Amino acid sequence: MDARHEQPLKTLFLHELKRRRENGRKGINAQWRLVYFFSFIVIAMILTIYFNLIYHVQLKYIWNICWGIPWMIFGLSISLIHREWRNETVGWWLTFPYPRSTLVAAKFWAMLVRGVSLACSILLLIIVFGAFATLVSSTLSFGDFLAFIKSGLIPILLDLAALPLAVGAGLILGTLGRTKLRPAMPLFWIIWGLSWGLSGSAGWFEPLSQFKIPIELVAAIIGSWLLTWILILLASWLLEKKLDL
Amino acid sequence: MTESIIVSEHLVKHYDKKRAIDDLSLTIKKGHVTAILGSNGAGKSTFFRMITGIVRPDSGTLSVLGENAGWHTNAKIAYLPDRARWYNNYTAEQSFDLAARLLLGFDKSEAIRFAELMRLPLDLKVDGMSKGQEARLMLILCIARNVPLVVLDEPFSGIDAASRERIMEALIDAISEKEQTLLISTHEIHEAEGLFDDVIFFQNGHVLLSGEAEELRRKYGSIDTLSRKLSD
Repeated sequence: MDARHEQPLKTLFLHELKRRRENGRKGINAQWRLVYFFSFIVIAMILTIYFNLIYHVQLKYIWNICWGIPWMIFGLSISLIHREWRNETVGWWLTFPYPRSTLVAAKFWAMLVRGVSLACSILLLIIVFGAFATLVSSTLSFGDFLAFIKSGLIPILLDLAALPLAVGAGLILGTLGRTKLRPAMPLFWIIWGLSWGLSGSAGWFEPLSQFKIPIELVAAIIGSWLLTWILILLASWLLEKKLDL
Repeated sequence: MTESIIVSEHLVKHYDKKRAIDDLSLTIKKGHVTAILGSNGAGKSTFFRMITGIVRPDSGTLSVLGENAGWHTNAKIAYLPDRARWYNNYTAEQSFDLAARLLLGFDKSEAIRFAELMRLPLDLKVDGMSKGQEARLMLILCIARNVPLVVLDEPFSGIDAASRERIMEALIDAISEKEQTLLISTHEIHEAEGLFDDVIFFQNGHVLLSGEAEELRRKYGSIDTLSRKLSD
């Protein structure tokens, strides 16, 4: 093998990242993105001032936005597989002369990077928002602001911990939909829904408000990473053996 | 005796109740240009996908370059998929750089030479290309590879006469220089038939007729005429 072909995972990973950036720009140019960004900032500032004047703002609830990030990444991971078919690039993608696990792993890492970037951007935006709300508020102090940031650490860390499983589950579901095992998709949703329900009702998240991390939660996170690895292997196997083209 | 590069024996592939490939047995000779012809749904694209390992036969055997078809054999195959598009955010030159890193045997300097021959601007993004320009780019990604087998599934599909002409020029240029085996399916038989050494007609997933192009031309006047006769 030629020396430049020795890092196919890196090349495919960069290729996925490049596709992500460029596809995101399609249909909306730089000027319009700026217009949307500044409109969002102005609206957020006006609403913050308004609610500060009328109500006593409970900043900590804003962190609930974070719970949506893994779901968003889960959905984007499904579409990462589907877009090969939608964009009619699947014939190229599947005939790259590398193991299917390399093709899937490149998508996994690219989406994980995307998820981490998204979580960090949202963290930054929320902190800026909290600082602004504290500045314009007559009731919030600097101490409240620090407590607000502290209360956001747990949701962000949990987000980051859940991202690998969200990506892995999205990739397996996206792949499953393109294979002869498509009828197993409802089964996936049942298992997926039950797992979330059970983990939510296990009480692992309650001690977190006192900044205590239960050992069961740590075990569950490590277990979810192992499961992610299995899901990637399973997606690779499906692409190799069960593809329906 | 000429060596074989692809040997299929009693291949069968079903899609639900339809038999896309039906007891297909054939041999493709090494170093030849073989045309796989037939109407839509005859099984040509399915057979090509089997060669590249993305479709698995239900039964039968398929040997490609002496091995079972799979992702590993694709290192030695340049494949132009049917109805394919290239990544819309790449320029032609960026595509060549990507191909040089991902596709074994890809020669960027040769790709640039083909791009000049086919009048394809290197700095143009696929997003801004016409269908003909994109088809030329995808063909270059295949023919600029130094691999033993080139498989082109409908390389002229949906493109204008001028682009077809440029693609033909580049194909003749490419195959005259290398000792590659070229497997091609096309409906533009009239324009491409000068390339063919061997012809295999598919119908309902099996071989209807096959032979050397010269011999078939002597018998029927042209491959195009024969094709029309067979489809009547």
